[in-house]
Amino acid sequence: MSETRLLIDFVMSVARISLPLTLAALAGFWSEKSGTFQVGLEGFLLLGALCGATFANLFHSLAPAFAATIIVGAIAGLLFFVFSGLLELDAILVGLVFNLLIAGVAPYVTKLLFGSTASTPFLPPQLHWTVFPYIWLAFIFFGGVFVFNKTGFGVLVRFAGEKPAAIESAGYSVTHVRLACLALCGAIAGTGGFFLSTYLASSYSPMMSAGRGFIALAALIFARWRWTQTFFVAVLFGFFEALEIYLQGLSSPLPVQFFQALPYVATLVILLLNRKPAFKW
Amino acid sequence: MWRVGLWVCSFTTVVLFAVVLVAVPANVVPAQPPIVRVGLILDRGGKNDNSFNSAAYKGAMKAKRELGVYVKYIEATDIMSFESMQRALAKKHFDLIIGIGFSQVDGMTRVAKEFPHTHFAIVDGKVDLPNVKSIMFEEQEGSYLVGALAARSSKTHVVGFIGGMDIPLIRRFEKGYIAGVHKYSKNTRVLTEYIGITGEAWNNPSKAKEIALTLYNEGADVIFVAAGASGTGVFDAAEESDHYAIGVDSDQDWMKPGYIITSLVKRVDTAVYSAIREQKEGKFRGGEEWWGLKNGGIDYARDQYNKKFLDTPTVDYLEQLKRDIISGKIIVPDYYKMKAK
Amino acid sequence: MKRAFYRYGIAAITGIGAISVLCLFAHESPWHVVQILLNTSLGEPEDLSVTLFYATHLMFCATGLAVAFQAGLFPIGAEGQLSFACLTTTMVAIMLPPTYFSLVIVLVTGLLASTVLGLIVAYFKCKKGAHEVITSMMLNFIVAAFANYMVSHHFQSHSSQDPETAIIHSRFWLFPSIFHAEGSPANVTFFLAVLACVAAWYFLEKTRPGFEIRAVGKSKSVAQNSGISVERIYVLALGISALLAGFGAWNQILGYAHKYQIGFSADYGFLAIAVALVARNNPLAIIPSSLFFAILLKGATGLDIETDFITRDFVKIIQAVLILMFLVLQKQRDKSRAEAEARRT
Repeated sequence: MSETRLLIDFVMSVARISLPLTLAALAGFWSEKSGTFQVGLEGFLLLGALCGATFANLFHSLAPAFAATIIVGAIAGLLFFVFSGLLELDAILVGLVFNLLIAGVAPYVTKLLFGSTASTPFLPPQLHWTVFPYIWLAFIFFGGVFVFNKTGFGVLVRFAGEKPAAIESAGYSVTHVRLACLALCGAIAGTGGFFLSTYLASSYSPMMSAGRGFIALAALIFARWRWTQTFFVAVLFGFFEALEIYLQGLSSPLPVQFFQALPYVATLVILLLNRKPAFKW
Repeated sequence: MWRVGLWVCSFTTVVLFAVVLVAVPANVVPAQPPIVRVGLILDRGGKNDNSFNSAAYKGAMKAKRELGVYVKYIEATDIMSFESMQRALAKKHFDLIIGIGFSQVDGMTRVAKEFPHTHFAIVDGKVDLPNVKSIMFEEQEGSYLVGALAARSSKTHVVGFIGGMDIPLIRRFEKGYIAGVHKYSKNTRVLTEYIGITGEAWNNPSKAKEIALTLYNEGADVIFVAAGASGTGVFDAAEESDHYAIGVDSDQDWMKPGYIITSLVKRVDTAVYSAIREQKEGKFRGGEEWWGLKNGGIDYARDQYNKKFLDTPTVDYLEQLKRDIISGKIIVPDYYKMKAK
Repeated sequence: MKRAFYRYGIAAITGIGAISVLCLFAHESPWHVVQILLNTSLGEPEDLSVTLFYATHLMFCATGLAVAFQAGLFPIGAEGQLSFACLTTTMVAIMLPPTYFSLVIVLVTGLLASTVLGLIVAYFKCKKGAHEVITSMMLNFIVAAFANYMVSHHFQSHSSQDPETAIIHSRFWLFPSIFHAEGSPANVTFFLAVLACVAAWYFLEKTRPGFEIRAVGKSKSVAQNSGISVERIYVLALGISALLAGFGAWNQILGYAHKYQIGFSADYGFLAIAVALVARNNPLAIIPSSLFFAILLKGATGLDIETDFITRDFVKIIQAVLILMFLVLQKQRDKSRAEAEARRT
């Protein structure tokens, strides 16, 4: 087993694991930056996974399924907005309820369309992207850098989160900004979920998001809500998970749980390394 | 905005209301004299985990079709709900209540005592009461067989095992498997990994796929997976990297033909069916009921999907091992017994 | 006045309409669904017992969270703190001989264990500037791994194949059941939980440290300028929060299961977040809020059993809509009150 081969495999592993995490975290960025605390990433991911597998099966092709997923994700974001923006309910509660709702609705969709309340039929290996997911991720990442830093919309988003009053006095509507951001969040997180069921697996299975939405939120917060840092922190989390998987496979006398706890302990260690001079905010 | 929000919700609700009124037919309750009423309480994995819960469900549905019994199935939400479900069904005078999974032992011990005239059955657990049939499987025997098969099929002399969580049941699979691997070839290495530390481990095919890819990269070419619904991830990995996998609980060979050497079949469906039939024919027997290689409760799958892996000499070899285990010539290490020391 | 009434009406009717849509879809009348929900969670003693047991867990965790939320923090570590408290309590109960002295140790260990976790979060927050969401989330996972390890490698019960510890000595079964049914989960700690809520309310509203916590929650800078040490308040809030979650061990281990089972928690720590938020972080309101969620939890099983169409998944939708409906009504009440205020001034 050559060293370079090992390294390449490991890097690919990190890339694969980080994919849904980065997309979800970057999606959450828009929501949080514009003022809506986002714990519903889990639900958006699951919805995206469901859409991905479902549409891919219906259209027998990935591209239209991808487009459809984006649309459904955006609509889900709008729905989220109805409760958090229009009805002004607490965003955290809306997120939690949203996760619950998606988890409950998904089996009915699969039952209606495929006769089973569990997974969708398996996608044949031809229906499998290998490079596009990363191209998309790059697009979202660099697109975000551009939009957030160089466009008026980016400015509006920043203000919507920090000084909503300023937007109103400038003649824009905070509501519209938050609406757009939530739609964006839903769409991007939806694509993260899309890859979960079509690239990282070959079908949708219930609850397959497995907590990734919350890890993505942690990445966002860890990076202090900065775009580029969020991306790298999400990749870092992916790195730790890949490392855990790799190390566990090497025969060792250490108990399994030691490795399983590794990513989380590592995160704490990194936080420890932060030398904060004083109690600063 | 608040008003807009309210109006949006009201309008949507009215529309949905109309849709539902129009599109959904009224529930026609079939007025049939209930024959035998069977309650099936599934473990948290749900009836479509493609693994032992779905096997139980299949067996019950088969009984419903062929024996004409009434089957009510429910899926548990959390560990506290088992007892409530068992009691509720018992109170409704169900004739036979079947619980799937070891988590139901505590509840059933109490409920079965409370309702001595109701019959109970539990899969993968033991309840020592006259009205409870404890259905247990000798998974380690089957794991031994597939272990030997894995070692025999492996060209790299490295095989893998992926478990869901580090719990006794899965350790049982693992130890039996490793013993079988070493029976065939003492030099074959076994790489083991566990998916996670919470219940999500049984529903994480993407992570299972990642672990499998890593194990394949570390040299394994056959991986046995015992992780509920996460198993499909391993099959994906097998297909993608042109290696092999072994499924568990139900016959999973059909999922990716050509890549799945066999499945360790745990005939939960047969056990459930037979328990229901016993009840229907009035021949219900409480006590322990062991299903293993001897009575076909545990076996390795042989069907049209894995024909190419199971040529005659291989089948002969496996059948000989089977006979030796049944006769007691080979003792397969049983993790449950190891722990009890 | 009339306008408010009219809007309450819209909100209520919409909520009921939404539930009705769901119920019709499930071939059930909404009234029947509500009936089942209430009946199967409060009807029989065994059912009520489970509901109260859930509520006990929710009350302890949610009250703790409420204290931290009122300080402006958002720790989500209740689940891990609860598990760690339960694990350590069990470990100690297994390892110690059943003496009076051991009783004290057993009682205190869980509380200490969970508090330590809370203090770790506080340390990271104050000294390292790390957000409590992350540190508490990581600790949750680390505790889960540790518990798995401890049970599977050291404390696995020899008489059971479940991933659980042996049963602790009956001397340690400190909290008797409330109901006489055997195996009834609800125990005396339910009343302790109610007491804890009241005590937390009193602490927050009527004591100086409580006041300081709330002040920091409302405005860090103003509080700091008034001489309150925000750092100290954070330590206090996170410590109390974790301590309260730790009492769940009294309920779970000493009051009911008498052993540590992997997967014992129906996500109490996470549900408690919703419980606390729905109660607007008011510990007194947490008492009915916990009951509400406990009924939803327990009733879910009942709905599955009593109806043909409603399954475990469908119940999630019903729960989601019910919670939303409640939130909308709550919001409407806020708006009405604000308008009434505005009209008076």
